Amino acid sequence: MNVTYLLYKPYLCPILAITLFISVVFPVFAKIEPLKVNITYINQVHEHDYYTNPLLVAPADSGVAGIELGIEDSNTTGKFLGQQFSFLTQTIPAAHSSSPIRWSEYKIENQLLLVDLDSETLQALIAHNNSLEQPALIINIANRDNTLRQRICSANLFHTTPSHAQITDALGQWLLSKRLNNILLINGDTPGDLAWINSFKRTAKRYKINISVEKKWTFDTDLRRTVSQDIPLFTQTARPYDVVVVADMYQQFGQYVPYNTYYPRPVIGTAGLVADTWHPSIEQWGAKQLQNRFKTLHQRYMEHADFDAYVAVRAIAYAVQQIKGVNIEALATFMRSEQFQLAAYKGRKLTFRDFNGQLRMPIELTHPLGLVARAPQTGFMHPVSELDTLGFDRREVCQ
Amino acid sequence: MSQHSCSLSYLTKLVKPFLLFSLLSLLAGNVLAKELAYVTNEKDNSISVVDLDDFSVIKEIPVGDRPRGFIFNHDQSLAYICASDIDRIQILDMTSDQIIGELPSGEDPETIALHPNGTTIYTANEDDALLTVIDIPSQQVITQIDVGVEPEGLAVSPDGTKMIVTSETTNMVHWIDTKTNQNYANSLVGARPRAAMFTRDNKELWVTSEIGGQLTVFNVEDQSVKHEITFKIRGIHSDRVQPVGIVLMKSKPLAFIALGPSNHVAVVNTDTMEIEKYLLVGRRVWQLAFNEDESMLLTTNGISGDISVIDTNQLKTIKSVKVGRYPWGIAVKQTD
Repeated sequence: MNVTYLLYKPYLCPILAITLFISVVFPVFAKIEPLKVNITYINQVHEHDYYTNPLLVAPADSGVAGIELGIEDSNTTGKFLGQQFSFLTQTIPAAHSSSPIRWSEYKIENQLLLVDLDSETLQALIAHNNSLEQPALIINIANRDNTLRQRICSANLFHTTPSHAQITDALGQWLLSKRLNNILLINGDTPGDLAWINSFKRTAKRYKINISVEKKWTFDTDLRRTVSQDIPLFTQTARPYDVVVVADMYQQFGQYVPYNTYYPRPVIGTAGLVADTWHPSIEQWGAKQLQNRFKTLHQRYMEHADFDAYVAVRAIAYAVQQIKGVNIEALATFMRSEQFQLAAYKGRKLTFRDFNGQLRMPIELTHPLGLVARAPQTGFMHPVSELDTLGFDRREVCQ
Repeated sequence: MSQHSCSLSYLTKLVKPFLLFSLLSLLAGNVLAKELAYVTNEKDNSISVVDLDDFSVIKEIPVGDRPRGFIFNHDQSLAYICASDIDRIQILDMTSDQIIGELPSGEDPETIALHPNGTTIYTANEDDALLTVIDIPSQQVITQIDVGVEPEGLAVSPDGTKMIVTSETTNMVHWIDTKTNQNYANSLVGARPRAAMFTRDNKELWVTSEIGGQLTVFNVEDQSVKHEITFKIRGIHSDRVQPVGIVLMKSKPLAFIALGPSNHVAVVNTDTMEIEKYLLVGRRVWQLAFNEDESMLLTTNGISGDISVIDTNQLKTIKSVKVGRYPWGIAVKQTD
């Protein structure tokens, strides 16, 4: 029903006139506008030129599902504080399908950005952002590249997803606590695997774990048929190892390794015992409520990608709540300060490392159906926070 | 031989009155002053009943899934239990140990509080960000009030005029007028507020923030902050010092604050607001309850699956009693 139509009804005219009059003359009477907090989620079409295991295909709304819940939770809080949160999605093409994106020519909505980009594209975005008069606040919610934590120390960049180093250190601490320090390392051949292996080697050096044999998977058999013959042969070594570490991010062969190793030994890494930020079996520290809310909203379990994104929205919401505004500089400064304390279902407050914007967080060690342990393991000490025993410390960053 | 038997009968004669007396006093003790602690076991879907004379678990009562909040009615003839996973408040008859009814609770009730009028009960629906107000006689929901994400701690002022809900993820204390059921004020506190408690004179409200690691004391009249306390325990990282349950003593100016995974209970002098002592208890301590004369304070320890008993005169932990898995709520009943 439009206004013209209403005007044809003579008895409505006086009411309309009065309403119009009031709204024009007395804008004071209008409801106080809520503080609008608009977030943009920038993601990228991911194209792989290698095989991915169909059992591992992420849900279509992986990650963004966590943003949706984060926005919903923040609005429940926001209604008491006059704050309104919303987000929109901008998708950019895959890196190698066209020439790299020119950020200077790309219109980005809003000043609060959650990004899921490959390292090259993300670095270009950060460089572009630093050149702006009013740079945006960028939270990396998906890229685990160690380089981004070590080399880039932009004051406006944060990471709510852990680095590979946090993940491999969590595994390293578990190995040490179990006194398993003689490793057979099996490598995959994707760039992701390489990044993971380099990170694991750093961990091994740090914790004096001995990688006694390193082998690269050959991809010359069809494991679906010959798994029980091939894996024992492949994992046979002159001397026994304590544990097999598999670096195969896309599960091209790794899932076939457990229970088939030549020596009966545990398998960890990207198959068997894995380390990540979240798992459907986590329910302590109020996590059950988060799991329930997520399931009600999305009809599936929450996964680590969803959690990393959820935490990013909550970090922004908490900072907005505390500084009562959306000034980017004030938000970024607050988020790096000691006053920032995020409750994120991990049993302790989470904070950002002021030197590289990485979120400090416990890492969950899980098998497919349940929780095994949580890093940092008891006994790993640090002068600032035990959480800093995982990943890069101050002196390893931006030197 | 005869001499011997004679002496024995003589002895018996001598001892008999004492025996009788001690037997009587034992009976009287049992009949008059027996106290039982009721503990909800979140993971075992049961209630453990602990005899506070000899600290033995005398029975386990099966109840609904994931029991957490637990309170008695005024004459302790009934108990109300939040069975979170079946979305109900169950009514337990204290003489027969049977569930005799249910109250409509909304989804996932976690904690409950009884209004001093004895007929209105409040429950926090953690999954739905709601506070449900229930009339017990008619078993009807009077209203549901929108609150922040994951409402948890509840408190009704002793004069019955105000009630409080804390919401864990919103980091807020919501003030509600019990006459109108309107939310009239909201106060931000440290991260993840858990428990709330009014002082008996209705003037102060105590609130703990689990992740913020703080205790905030509000002036009830104008919701201004009167005190803010953080806890520090030697040798324990501040991140693990997470205040949760609060109890205030009637007979002495003392408050006890459970400090979660630091495995300690803080003793706060309410006159000076100084922390007097930290008492070591079981692992991840969350809820607290006194016995009737406040000589004992009981704590539920989630991870170690036991309750600790604190002697409030010596300020010393004197005992721990194994109960079910993940003990959560606790209340003490007098039997007669």
